[in-house]
Amino acid sequence: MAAVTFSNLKKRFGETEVVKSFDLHIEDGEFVVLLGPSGCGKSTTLRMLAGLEEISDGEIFIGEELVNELHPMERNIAMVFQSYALYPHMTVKENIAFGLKMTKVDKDEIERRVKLAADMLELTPLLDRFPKALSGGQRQRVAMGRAMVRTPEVFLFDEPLSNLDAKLRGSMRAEIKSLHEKLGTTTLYVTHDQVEAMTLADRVVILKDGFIAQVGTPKDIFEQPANKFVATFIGAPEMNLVNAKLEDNQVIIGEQTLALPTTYQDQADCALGVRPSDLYLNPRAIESDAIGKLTVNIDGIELLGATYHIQGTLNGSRFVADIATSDETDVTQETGEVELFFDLHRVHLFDNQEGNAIRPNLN
Amino acid sequence: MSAVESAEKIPAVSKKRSLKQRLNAKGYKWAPYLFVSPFFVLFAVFGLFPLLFSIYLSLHYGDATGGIDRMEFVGLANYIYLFRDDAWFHQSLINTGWLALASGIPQHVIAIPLAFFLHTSFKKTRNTVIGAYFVPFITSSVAISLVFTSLFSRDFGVINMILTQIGNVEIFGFQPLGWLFPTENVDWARPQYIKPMIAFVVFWRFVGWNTVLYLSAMQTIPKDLYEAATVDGAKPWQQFFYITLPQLKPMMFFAVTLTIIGNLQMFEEPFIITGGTGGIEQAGKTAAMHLYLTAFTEGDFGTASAVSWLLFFIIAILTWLNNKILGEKD
Amino acid sequence: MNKLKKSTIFAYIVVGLGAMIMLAPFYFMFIFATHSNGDILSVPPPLWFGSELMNNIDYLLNALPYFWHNVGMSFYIAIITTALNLLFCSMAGYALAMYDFKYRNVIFAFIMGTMLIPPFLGMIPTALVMKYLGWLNTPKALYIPMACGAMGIFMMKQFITSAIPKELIEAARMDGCNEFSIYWRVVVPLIKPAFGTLGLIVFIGQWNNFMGPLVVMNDMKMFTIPLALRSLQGTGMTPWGAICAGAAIAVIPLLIMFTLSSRRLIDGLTAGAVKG
Ligand SMILES: Nc1ncnc2c1ncn2[C@@H]1O[C@H](COP(=O)(O)OP(=O)(O)OP(=O)(O)O)[C@@H](O)[C@H]1O
Ligand SMILES: [Mg+2]
Repeated sequence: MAAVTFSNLKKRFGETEVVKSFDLHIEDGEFVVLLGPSGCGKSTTLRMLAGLEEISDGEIFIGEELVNELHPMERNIAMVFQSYALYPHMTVKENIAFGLKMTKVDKDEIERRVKLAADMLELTPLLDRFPKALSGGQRQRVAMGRAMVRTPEVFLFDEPLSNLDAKLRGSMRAEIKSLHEKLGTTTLYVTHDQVEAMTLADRVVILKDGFIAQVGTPKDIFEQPANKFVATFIGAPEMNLVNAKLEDNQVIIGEQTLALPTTYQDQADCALGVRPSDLYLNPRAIESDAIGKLTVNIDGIELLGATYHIQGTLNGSRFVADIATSDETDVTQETGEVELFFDLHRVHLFDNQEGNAIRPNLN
Repeated sequence: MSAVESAEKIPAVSKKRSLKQRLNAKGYKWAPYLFVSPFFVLFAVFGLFPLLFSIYLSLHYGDATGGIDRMEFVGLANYIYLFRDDAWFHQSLINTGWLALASGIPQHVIAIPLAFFLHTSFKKTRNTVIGAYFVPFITSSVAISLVFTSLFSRDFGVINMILTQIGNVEIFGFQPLGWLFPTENVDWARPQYIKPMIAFVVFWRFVGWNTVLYLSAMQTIPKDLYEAATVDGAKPWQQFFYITLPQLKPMMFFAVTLTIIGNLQMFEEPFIITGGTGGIEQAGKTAAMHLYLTAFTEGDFGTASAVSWLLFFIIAILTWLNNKILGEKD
Repeated sequence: MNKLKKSTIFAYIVVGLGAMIMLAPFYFMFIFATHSNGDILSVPPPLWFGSELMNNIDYLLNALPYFWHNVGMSFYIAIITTALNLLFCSMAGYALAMYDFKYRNVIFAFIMGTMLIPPFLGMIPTALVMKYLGWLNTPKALYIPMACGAMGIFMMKQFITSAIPKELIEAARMDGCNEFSIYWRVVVPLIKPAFGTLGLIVFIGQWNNFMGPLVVMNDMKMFTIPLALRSLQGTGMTPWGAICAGAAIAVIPLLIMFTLSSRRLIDGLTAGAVKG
């Protein structure tokens, strides 16, 4: 097992730079997820580490070894592909053993390791089948078995679950998680599914257009997004952002004002962010020393099982609230305006120029 | 980010790697060139070099088999000779043109309706029938031309027997088909008959191939076009003229191009049928045969090379004209 | 309705008669192969099998003392040509289908362009080249120049592109294959159907090749079947029975292959021609 370090990594396809100065250190045994919208360069980054894509600039270390010029095999990594990429002409057993055979591991050792992996992944009864006779989930497990037996220093996954249906995805996710706990192998996992990222990762790396937008634990990323992009990308429904002004530790939104519990630099043009799930109709439901209140125009209300979904407008921006139906107030009658309450410790402020988060003054 | 810095400080542990390992690591860069190289090596030696050599030969005179240094540079004299004086070359070009049309046009005139009929009216037996029409295309033209020579022979040939029997059918003492069919055995070796005979053999060999080409194009015509036409009350023959034919135009262009290119190179059938001589009065000698005979019977490699280039340009021009006339205008 | 039916029946009859005309030469070839020259020359000619096959073959072997050797040559040359084409075309097709390399498109266009060169253009110089190389009357004069055709490369490229996902190649690379073992252990096993089709096409093409051997083989012993058969011509009284027996031997392997795989062969040939 080994740590992985990317240093000023870049990738150009002709003129266009799709990975721009990627710096990251992954600890030995850590599970890191690369998350971002389609086309942001996740796969490209992963494939440069795998040795499947040439590095345009910068360096990659596995452990302490510079691997830029090494053949994928010499890097001692294993990868699970989105399409599984099982060899159709080989049985499950041959698929799993193929990499060992290629690296000239001796026969008994191959047998032993294949058996071990098959037991762990419950593939033993399927060993003599061909991939086309397997279900999606079973193929996925074979792909993982193939990666596992090589006892690699790093595991790579590129959207391994996106070909599965929603239910299977949940159980495979759990399986990957428990596998990582058992093996403790350093893992880099690419996905564009937030739920996967949040549930699997020790740390999440959010990519945007080839840049790292934020690195942090799932909790950090959710609770302290570093910029507007991360704030709106993570969480569903999306965080509400309303144009505002910061003056004397007060947020001014049109006619309304919120007094903040912490001190901030004044800012003429900024945005206030509140997650829809942080909004309440009933201030007593909030346990906090600082409760804010905003009056919002209602455009419509939908009942979505356990929540009311309120769509509204505030200061010209869309403003959405998810209210638990257990909240004592009945909102279905409401028209016109509604008062929404929230914990002032849980609001986010971003400057409108760069989109970066405004942090409270430390004093 | 401190880890990044520390990694930079530690000098990268670079294991000593052999040249083989380093080559292997970059395999995906050079391997594709290695994989396509057999083609290029073979093409250079047996494709490109012969072409250039043939240009050189066409500008020289003499017996090349004794070594090219025995040849004498004559400029365009070979070409001029072919244009002005080589009557047999002219004859062979006329023969080639005649044969190309007489074997080519019927191929398409029959293949298109045949393909349409196979497409619309045959289900279970379709593959068998296609097989029957296609099998001449893959059989040895030499073997089958020899068989045809026997079928076409004057005194005992099966074909003469059938034709004269039809020609001699008598109704009340008249021979109503006598004007169309022969009443006596035809000597197919005579100059006026040898060309139709060759043309028939070539037609026989390629009609199935064209049928298959048209059939494959018809299978890509959307069914709903026909369904719409049926709803509008179009009869099958109307559907053929108003839907199938227009939709077939690209394939017609392609198939006709293949026929032009192939027929102008016609060699094996006339060569075998005329016993390698060209027949009486050279009536069955094609340009490709002339090329062969000039080189390998007369030993005049220079003129023969000039023939090959002239023939090449004729094919190129006709293909281009075909493209102008039938090709897509865009 | 009735009228329509009549015309359809008429068309069936015409198509059926046409099919019989297409097959008739084969029929007569087999019939004549079993009759003496005298029978064949009688009027009307024989229409059913006779008993002279062995005599005809004896005659054939007398006139062509190396006939079985010639048959062997045909098989040998066609098989080697096929094997080389399968190897070289699939390697080139694999490279063009699966690698991103500089000049790939130029290289591909060039290979396709060589299909436009008509074979007669190289007939004379190739004969001379073979003479200088000392390859006249050797099988390699026939199989080496034909060892890697553009059509085969195109077919292989198409098939590999459609049958093998790029990720599979990458998985093999991750599993420790070098570039050649990816080709050998992953690509080759997966393109067997295309090997079948291309193999048939190449085999048949080389088996029927006439112009090639005509200019490089002049020793009777090294003739292929088409050359051997045509040397029976013009030797006084033409031995039709023997010629038809020989022609049948030349055609039977093709008929067997065609019967076993007509669909695949026809599809392969049309796809190769239409898309190429
Ligand atoms: N071989 C290539 N040539 C040119 N551009 C490429 C190539 N491969 C990828 N790209 C471009 O690089 C960008 C990043 O691609 P990448 O595959 O890394 O995206 P991704 O983040 O994995 O997206 P997705 O979630 O859709 O898989 C994309 O804009 C893509 O179009
Ligand atoms: Mg991707």
